[in-house]
Amino acid sequence: MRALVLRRLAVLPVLLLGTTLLVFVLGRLAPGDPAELFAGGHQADPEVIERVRTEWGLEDPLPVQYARYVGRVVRGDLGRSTTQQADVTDVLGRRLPASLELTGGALLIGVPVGVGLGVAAARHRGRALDDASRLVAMAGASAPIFWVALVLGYLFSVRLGWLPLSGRLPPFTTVDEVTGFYTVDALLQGDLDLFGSVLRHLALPVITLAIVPAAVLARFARASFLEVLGENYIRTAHAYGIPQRTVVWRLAARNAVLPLITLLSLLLPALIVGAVLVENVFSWPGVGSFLLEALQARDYAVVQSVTLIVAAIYALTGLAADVAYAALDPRTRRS
Amino acid sequence: MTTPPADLPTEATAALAAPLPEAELSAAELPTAGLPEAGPRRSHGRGRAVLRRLFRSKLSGAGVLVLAVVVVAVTVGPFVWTVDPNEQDLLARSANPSAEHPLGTDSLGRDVLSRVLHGGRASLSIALVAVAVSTTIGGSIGLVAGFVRGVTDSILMRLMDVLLALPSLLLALLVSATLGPSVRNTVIAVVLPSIPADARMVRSVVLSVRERDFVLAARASGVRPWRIMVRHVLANCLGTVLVMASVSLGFVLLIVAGLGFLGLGVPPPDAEWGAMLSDASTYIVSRPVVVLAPGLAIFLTALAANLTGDALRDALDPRA
Repeated sequence: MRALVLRRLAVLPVLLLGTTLLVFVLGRLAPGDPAELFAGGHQADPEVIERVRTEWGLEDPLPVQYARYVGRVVRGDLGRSTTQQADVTDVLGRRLPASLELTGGALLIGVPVGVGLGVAAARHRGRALDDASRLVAMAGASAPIFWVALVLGYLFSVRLGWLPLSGRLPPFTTVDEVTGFYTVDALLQGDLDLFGSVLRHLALPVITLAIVPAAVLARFARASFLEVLGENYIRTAHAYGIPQRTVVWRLAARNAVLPLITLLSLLLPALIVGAVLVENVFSWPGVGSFLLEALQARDYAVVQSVTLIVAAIYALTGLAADVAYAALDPRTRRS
Repeated sequence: MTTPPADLPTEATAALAAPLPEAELSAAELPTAGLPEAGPRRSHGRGRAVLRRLFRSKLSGAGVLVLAVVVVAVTVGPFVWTVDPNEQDLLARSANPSAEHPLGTDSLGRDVLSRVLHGGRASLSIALVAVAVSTTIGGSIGLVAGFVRGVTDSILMRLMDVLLALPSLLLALLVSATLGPSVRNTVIAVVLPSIPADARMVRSVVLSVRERDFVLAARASGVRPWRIMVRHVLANCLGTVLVMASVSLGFVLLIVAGLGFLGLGVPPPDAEWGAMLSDASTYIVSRPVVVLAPGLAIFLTALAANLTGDALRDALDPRA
């Protein structure tokens, strides 16, 4: 168990170093001169460009530049955003809560729906409900999420007018930002109307993104429950006349839900990709839309930082999922 | 490698084992397995069994059918519906469906039906090429890593880990933004994140195949490692590769569309499903059909590809 954690932790820095190299090389391959961009584009004063270039050490050999870049990142300095004229860490700090609120909400809705679908399929294996649930899960995995976002937006916002189409708040409204999570901030402010408005703005993006965890979990929950439901202790429980619901949700669920924890590392990349696209459609001011803006504007400090942070989160989640699984399931501990 | 027992007919054993695709022969087929001329007939019978299993479930049958229809539609369609996808009918911009434009026109007066057909050509052919390339490269990496093992394996797999460190669309976005939008760059951007998954999958199969008795027999009889790798190990991975390719087709199609939607895929004015959605999203209020059509096309094709992949997996692996 400890060996597993240590081994996985040892790989982590190597992986992150590899990612820094990848983003660094991509950044240097990209067309456009970073110094010129920072100085203000084509019409910038050549003298200013030259000064930026020396200041940033852009004339040093690439390995030196790379080493310096890694050194800065290790010290927590992610550089400056050319479009926002601010430190990348500050901007990301402001953008991150919006993305977390969105993905958190999606998990809150998507996980129970997915597990429910999977369990329903497993309990009615081979029957119409099983096929239906599998089809729904596969449809969820096959639908381009930006299209789903557009269709839902058209239906519930444009057509029915029930929900707002974009942003986190109505125009000309502000929240006293304490945590950056507007649901929490609105409650802290004690303003229930505002809280309702925040929830209504969250609804469409969250529901769209919830498709991702729901589809992934439905598929794996089905497999996991099928396996556990076939075991002897479940048959014994049935033979004792224990109600179906107790058998499934109390006895089987304990063992069937555990393997789903490892799914986190599979789910996360899909969730991140989904969030980028959903944020784009609904103009959600999170990290995803920030990344897209930065890509468009060739704001490479931002692109590199977001990439690096995503890679770090991704690697850590994988590690956490493995460790949690090993810690929670005594059977894996012995080996 | 240990020396073979003297009385073992190694040549015969190795030759016999090589052409067997997977070792899942039913009892009925077994007796003929030793006869060399039974080879083609046996594989024929197996192919038919696979086909039969492919259509056993209505769901998977529907998947195969829809995929076939889409492929035929985008290949033959543009010859039947010959309207130029880039021609602008300035008198009928954002027009409703009519006899002249069955799906209406977009904001520039271009025929939506024609653009859906041509866009499908672009999306599907990019996805197919990308799948072929990534399966070949990733498969070769997995084959070599799993067969050679040792340091080569470690180096190759750590390289794959770095590519896996980022979610696929994100890596594709970075590559595409760096190289600039074009058809070729879209293929590269989509291939790069697909390689590691293919490599891992093939490697895991190779790891189990290389321990099988017929590989041992081939080694014992002095067959060169290169030949064993290709004739014996690779031949037994082809089923997995086929399943892998069809499953990743749906996945890759979504990435291609995603890139197009974000403006980093096929550059305008060429039609591509994802890019069409991005053009149309501005007009969703006035022209919902324009948005619905290419999105539905992506959705149905990806769904059909996924169903086909699942069906193929079930058909090729009767145990599942």
